[in-house]
Amino acid sequence: MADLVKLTIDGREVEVEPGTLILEAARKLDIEIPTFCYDERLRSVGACRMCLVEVEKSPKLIASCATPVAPGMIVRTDSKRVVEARKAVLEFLLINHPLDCPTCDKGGECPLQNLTYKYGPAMSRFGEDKIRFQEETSLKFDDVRIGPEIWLNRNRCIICFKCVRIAREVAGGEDLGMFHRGAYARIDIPAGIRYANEFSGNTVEYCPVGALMSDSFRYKIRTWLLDRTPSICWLCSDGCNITIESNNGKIYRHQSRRNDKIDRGFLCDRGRYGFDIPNHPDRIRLPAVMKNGGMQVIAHDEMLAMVIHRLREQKGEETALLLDTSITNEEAYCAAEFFREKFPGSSIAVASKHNFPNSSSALSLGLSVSMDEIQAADLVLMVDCDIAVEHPILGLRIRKMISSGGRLYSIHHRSVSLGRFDFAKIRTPYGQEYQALNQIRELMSGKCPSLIGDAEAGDLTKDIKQAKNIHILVGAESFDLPNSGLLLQAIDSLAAAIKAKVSYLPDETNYIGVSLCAQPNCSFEQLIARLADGKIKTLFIAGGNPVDIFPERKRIIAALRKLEYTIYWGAFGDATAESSTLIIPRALPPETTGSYLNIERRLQFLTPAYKPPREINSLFRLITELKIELGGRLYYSAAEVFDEMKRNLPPFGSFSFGATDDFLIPLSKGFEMPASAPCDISPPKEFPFVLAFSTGFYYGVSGLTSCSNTLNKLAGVQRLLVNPVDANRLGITNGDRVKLKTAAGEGEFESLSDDSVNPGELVLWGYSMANPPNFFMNGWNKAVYAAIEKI
Amino acid sequence: MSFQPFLLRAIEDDDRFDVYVKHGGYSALRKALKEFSPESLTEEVINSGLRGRGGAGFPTGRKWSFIPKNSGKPVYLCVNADESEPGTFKDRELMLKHPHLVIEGTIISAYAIKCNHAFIYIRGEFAEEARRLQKAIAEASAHGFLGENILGSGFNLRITIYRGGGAYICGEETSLMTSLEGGPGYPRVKPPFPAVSGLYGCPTIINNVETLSNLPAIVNNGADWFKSIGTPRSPGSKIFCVSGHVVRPGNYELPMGISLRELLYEHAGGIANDRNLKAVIPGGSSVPILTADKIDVRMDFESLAEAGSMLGSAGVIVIDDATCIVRAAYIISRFYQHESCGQCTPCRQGTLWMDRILHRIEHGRGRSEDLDLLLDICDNIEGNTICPLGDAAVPSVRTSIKLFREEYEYHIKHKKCLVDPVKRLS
Repeated sequence: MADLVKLTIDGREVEVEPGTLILEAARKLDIEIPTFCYDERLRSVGACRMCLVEVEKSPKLIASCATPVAPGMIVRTDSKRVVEARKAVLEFLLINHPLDCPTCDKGGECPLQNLTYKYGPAMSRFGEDKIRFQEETSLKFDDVRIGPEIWLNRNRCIICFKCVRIAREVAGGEDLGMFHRGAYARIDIPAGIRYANEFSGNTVEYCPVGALMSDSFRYKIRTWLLDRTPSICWLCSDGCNITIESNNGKIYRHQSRRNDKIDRGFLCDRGRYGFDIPNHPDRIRLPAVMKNGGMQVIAHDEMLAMVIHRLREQKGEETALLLDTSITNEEAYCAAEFFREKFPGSSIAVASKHNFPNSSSALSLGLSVSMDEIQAADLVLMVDCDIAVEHPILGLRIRKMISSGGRLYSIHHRSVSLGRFDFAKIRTPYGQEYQALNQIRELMSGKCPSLIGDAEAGDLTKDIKQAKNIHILVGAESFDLPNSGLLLQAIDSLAAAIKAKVSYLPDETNYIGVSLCAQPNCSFEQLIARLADGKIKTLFIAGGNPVDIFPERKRIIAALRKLEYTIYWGAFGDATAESSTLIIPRALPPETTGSYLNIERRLQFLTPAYKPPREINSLFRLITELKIELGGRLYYSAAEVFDEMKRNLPPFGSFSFGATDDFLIPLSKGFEMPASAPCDISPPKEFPFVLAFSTGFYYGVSGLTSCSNTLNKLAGVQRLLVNPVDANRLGITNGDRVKLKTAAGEGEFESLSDDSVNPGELVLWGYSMANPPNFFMNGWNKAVYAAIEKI
Repeated sequence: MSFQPFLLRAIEDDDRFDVYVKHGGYSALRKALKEFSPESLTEEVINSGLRGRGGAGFPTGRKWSFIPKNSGKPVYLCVNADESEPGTFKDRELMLKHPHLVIEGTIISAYAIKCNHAFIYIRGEFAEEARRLQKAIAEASAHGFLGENILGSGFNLRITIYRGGGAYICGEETSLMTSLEGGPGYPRVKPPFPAVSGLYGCPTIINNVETLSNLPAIVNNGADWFKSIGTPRSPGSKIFCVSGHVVRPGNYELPMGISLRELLYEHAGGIANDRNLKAVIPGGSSVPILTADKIDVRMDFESLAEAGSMLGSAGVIVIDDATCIVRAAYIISRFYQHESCGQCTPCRQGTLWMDRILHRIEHGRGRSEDLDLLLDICDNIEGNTICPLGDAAVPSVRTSIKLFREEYEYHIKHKKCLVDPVKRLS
């Protein structure tokens, strides 16, 4: 390590690493240098000039956000010249800034407001007309919509380039830029483009003025009326830290709550704009029974009495518990404990969309290293992982890795993308990924691959030889594909051959935590089989929407029909509710206390943003009320459950409930590969295509995302992706309606010719309640064959 | 002995390759490749005292010597042919009439800094100039002065002409590079300086067309010869672009240190229309104005700095006594407002603000507090911007107020122009 640089700031000495910016060195001394454009996560531009400081021997003031320290430098941040310069910069910034703070969304949390109060002139001497960017005079407030969610008011913009840099450096798009010159310079999008990407909401959060706004938040509430609750995002397993901002029981937005170990202060749009799921108008807020195909509202106490009555007379082996993956560790633990003790022999399963090996320990899943280490890797191989969809924030680390020279290879049956970040894609036929992995292993012994191009094979050989730390990220789809057993074995052998660390990545929010804490005794599939046998009479569904999740819709519906009694603790009147007997309104994660384990197996705590009405039950409270009547160990808070969990589940060790320190459960060995023989994927004549599925970024992993109005708006319509060669052959052009036929039935979709899909394969992209993808599926690890025709 | 111009040489058809060669063209390149190593050539240019002709006057050889040794990265040379400073038109004439001189100078410079790919960033409006340079490059390549293994020396050079979009800001060296890389013409924060990290993050030298055109003569005649012309600290000749109210506006290549009086009255034919001299902007629109009483100032870097102005690009703008200085300052401020790139706050907003106020004063709607406000805005822009454009917008406004305050006050008070009181301002 190079020697530290010693310098003096405002008369105080400080030692910093060479290359540190003056502004950062000052922060080390707790000296505040105001700035608008500086963000240590983005490339410095030195544009706003708010951070000017005086450096001895330099005739001009210096932008401290763009100038590295030098030994012996003497810096003043409080001299008269500096104070005057700040005042001048603020006066300049304000001359064309509208005085619409009373209506501006940013008012109250606006850096421009705050710094003007602190450093600015009290009066403006600008007596001219302000520049007004007015695209359409019919528009209120001069705002223009630049994307489905993002609005722009150019009058307010102070040209700090933060949004441009976020769009470019973080999200990896070229879609925001500065147009025109001088005082008429403005942020804009190129003609014909709509600004929408997986990270677009960050531009709104980090805009230092109210120039960028979210459609879902714009002009809805003043920021000082919002209650801010620290919590954890529940729409994937990355575990981003969020602040839930609510007022009077209604959530208005999610903001980031920076955790440099995970999200570095960036949220993906799914997590940010999924805030409105609890506010959805169709949410079930009162208990109901299903009668004659319709829901009939009942009183809370009546509901409780019915559940108690039903459960009291059940035998253990006749009951089952199905746990959603978005519930907390404590909820999973106390619900499973209740069933195990009260109903010995009952079936307990976790409802995952993916076929994770049930025999393996939950703690053998997740990242094998920290996110920082992934970012610092030389080489990452992603197997059947659409990281931008499954793990958006881990995807940001991968993007960072690429921009700092790391190499990424995706091994997938379709082409996945990461904005403008370029990486090598090894495309294999559907279900043949394992062969590509075997060929990569054989590459090292000089064999010629058939599934990998010559150039890629050469690069890959070189990269593997040069790389010091190699990671293999195994996407959730790897567990579901035909030949997944072979695939997982191939990954294992390859990892051993090239000394790579393997991470199996479940994408469902708290899959690891729920599996660990509930200790299920059967798999989701086994449970469905048992239901179909008719041995189970009563099923308690704790959250989620298992009818939508299970990869064979007809089978799960038929199985549920066999039940005498289904209790559904759920939030929406979805397909699962339709097959249930009794519906208990569910408290969603933002209304819940408890903990999650994220993909790193990091323990993090949720705080309820508000107290939901009595009719909306947290699982913890519901189970407690049942225990009061039916007997069982009582806990008075989630914290008490946690203490009990610690006693019985050693991984939780000495950790205490609600603490904010780092707590990661180490990865345990014990991942077991289900053995299997190669299966042949050959479409029959009447169904010549292989059909694959992706819910796309906005729906992601949780069935509840389709209950967000904002996400529905952003996601767009469901599409059938067809390889251009096939599209040409069948005379299908983009946007044509096509009929998709499989053995399960048929559906109509809009088509999109897209070469991310292999010839002879189709991808059903997106989600809709009307056309749920699992309608076409026929179980895990089985190929779906399909035919299409133009309508 | 009278001074013989060696840049704007009095040779007919000097843009033709055969004519250029006949008059000793490319002999300097031969000599440089044969007799000099890159290091000794740099040394020679340092000794000659040649200073950059683009405006800042930085010693050329010293600039070259800032290139880090053995950085492992390619070195680039950018020829700044984006001449856009109002009142300046010297590079244009050099490229139009003596394109081979420019190319020869470029090759010599590239040899000195071990550059194998030079770029000529030429202002978009200079279409014919670009065409002639392109032709000169083709001819030089055909005769082995460009390309692989130039004249058997083992030195390779490729020259690429890039036509800019006509933005003033792209004459600033860092935005020139950003523009050349394909980005918008935004200046970059220095450090890092281009010699360390410039074009594509590689060591880069940016030299002005006139600067490079001096090199063949320096190589042929030696540093001592060059130093014998001009003044000790500003050696050599300078092309003065005389414009405005003179009888014979045009480019005049004369030794540094010539008096302004001699330049205007002996060479440019004196003030036109029998008017009197009111003021001179001696170095392009970005430098402070001089009043008529400074007529005996010597035209070199030091003397002009002493007189309170700058040599700049030597665009000598002559203003006669029938000219309204308020209007002149307004027109200049409008230029900077239009050309500010908009990246940093003081320049983006300050140039607009000054322009708005001057517009008001010029149109009879000035206020008594405007002048002090303008001076304050000048102070607030100057020194606080990323690049020198903000600094360049200030001097004309500031000095016009300081030197001709009564004219401004007359405008504000009487809504009339002091120079032409009959005309009502509106």
